[in-house]
Amino acid sequence: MSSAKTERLINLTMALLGAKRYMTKTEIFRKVAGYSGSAETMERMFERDKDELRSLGIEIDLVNNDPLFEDEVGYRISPDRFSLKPVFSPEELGILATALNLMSNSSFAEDVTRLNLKIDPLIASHENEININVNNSLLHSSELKVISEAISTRTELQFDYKKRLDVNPEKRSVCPMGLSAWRGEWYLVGFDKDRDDIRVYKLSRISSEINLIGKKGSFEIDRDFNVRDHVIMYTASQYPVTLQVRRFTGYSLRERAQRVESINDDFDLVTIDFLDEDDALKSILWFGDDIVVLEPEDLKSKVINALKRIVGAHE
Amino acid sequence: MSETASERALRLLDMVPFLNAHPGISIKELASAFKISTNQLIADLNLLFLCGLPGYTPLELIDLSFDDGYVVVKEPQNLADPRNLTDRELLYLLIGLSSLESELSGEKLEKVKELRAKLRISTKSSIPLGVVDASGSRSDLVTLLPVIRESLEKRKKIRIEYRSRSRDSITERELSPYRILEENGNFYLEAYSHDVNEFRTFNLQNVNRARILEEDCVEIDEVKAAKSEKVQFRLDSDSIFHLENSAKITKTGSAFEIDVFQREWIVRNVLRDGGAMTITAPVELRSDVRNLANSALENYQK
Repeated sequence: MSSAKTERLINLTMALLGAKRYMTKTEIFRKVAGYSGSAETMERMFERDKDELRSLGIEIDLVNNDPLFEDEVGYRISPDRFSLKPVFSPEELGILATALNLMSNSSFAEDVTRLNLKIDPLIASHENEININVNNSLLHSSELKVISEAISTRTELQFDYKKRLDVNPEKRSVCPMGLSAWRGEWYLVGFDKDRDDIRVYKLSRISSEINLIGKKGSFEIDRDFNVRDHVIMYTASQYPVTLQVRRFTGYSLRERAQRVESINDDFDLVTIDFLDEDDALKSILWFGDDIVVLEPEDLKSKVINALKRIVGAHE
Repeated sequence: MSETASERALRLLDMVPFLNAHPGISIKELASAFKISTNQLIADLNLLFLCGLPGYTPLELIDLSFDDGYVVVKEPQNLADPRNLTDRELLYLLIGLSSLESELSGEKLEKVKELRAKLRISTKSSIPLGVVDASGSRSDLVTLLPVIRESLEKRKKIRIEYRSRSRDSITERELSPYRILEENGNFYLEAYSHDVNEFRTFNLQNVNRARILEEDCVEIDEVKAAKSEKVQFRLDSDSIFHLENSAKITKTGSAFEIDVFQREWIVRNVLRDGGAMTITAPVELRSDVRNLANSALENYQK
């Protein structure tokens, strides 16, 4: 195996990283060990080296309108971006160690080897693992890896998705944006290209392989994107409702209640914040004649209408 | 698989900070940390010797020694700190930290959240912090579901601790699980409960713990034939509970058929769906639905 190229790549990285100001190609060819041959050969070498370093995640900045350089392009690696600064407290490093440990025993094991080697130098000087006994079954999911890859490289995904049990799977083209776990199941949040909207997919309902499609960097994820804004289960409860709940019934509702007051021998007065109107409607209807809506008026008439519809359909 | 020159360069760039943090590490340990042979490692170290900053005098080269089987980097030059994380590595770490968060509360949880933010800032990544969230994955369900699924697969009974509706009482039940139902993140287990010799539906939110027993499940199909009835229904909208195992529900045209053990359960589901679901047979069940809905309506006419 030729070591010359490896050596040149390391020298180039160190030179660009140590440069006080942007280096022109001429400077690079003159100063960095490993570049030789005709101008054209060196040019080709450099272009290839630069692309390879970039594809491996090393960012090379360039300027091309600096008056100092006239027409020449200047190159540099920013030390701030190149290395991870030791800014973490011993406790934080302990948390990192625990998280890595967790991942080393999961489907991610192979992928975190390099990550471990990077974080290790920070942790090495502190032996302070926080001790949490974690069940990591959440991390045993091969889909999670493919999706992480796609999110981190902003690559589109394609898969078959079975929305409900009574429909056939449909092909979806999705720009993946985030992942959320809810009660032991993972959900993908992404922009559905055919539906032109952000949708949430439950990983266990994906019925095909998940394929990365097209070019990397084909979309962007907003800086303030948050999966919690899209996964309904996380949305804050903000639909206050006042109910009469028959005594000794509706326990699962009572657990969510803000207030419970006894009003007579049959009913208690209960106030609850539901997620939204639909959540309130469904939760209330489930309890049949054990619950009476007092407020809001709007919800009350929706409940009455739904009940009438049900009676009508079962006449 | 043969390694490219640039992959090797990356390993060497990561090896210098690693050595810097582990002065005097043995060649054997170092090779195993990087998952390479000792021969490859020695070739790597010999190559590092030759690298450095422009000028390339002894003052500018990386300096290390490994003659006695232990490696010391004396002068790492500008490679002392570990390389920054790539977007993918940061995302992996966020996934790991998120699953940790799902197990934590209070002060510890806040610490992990803070660390996530700090990582984002110090890696200068463009990956938004909110890209992963597993805090809704409570550990009890994370542990419950696999137990139940295993039991369904191996047909072994389970024992659960159940908080029944009258909140105060916690009971132990021995079950032969039949199927898992899910709606909007709420999971229900339908199972034959051996304590009452009947099929029951259990809200998994109220199950404290579950474990698999040695004993085989009862033959559900036999019991079911005696205890269950076939219910046919029609659907007008998206809103319906999902069955994990869709084989347990059949569809012909727009009509569905499901085995029901507890009439009350299906009746309440019809009500909850607010008119989207209509039972077509049996007729008695249709009148059960009608009666409950009428009785609820009467509450509003008083």
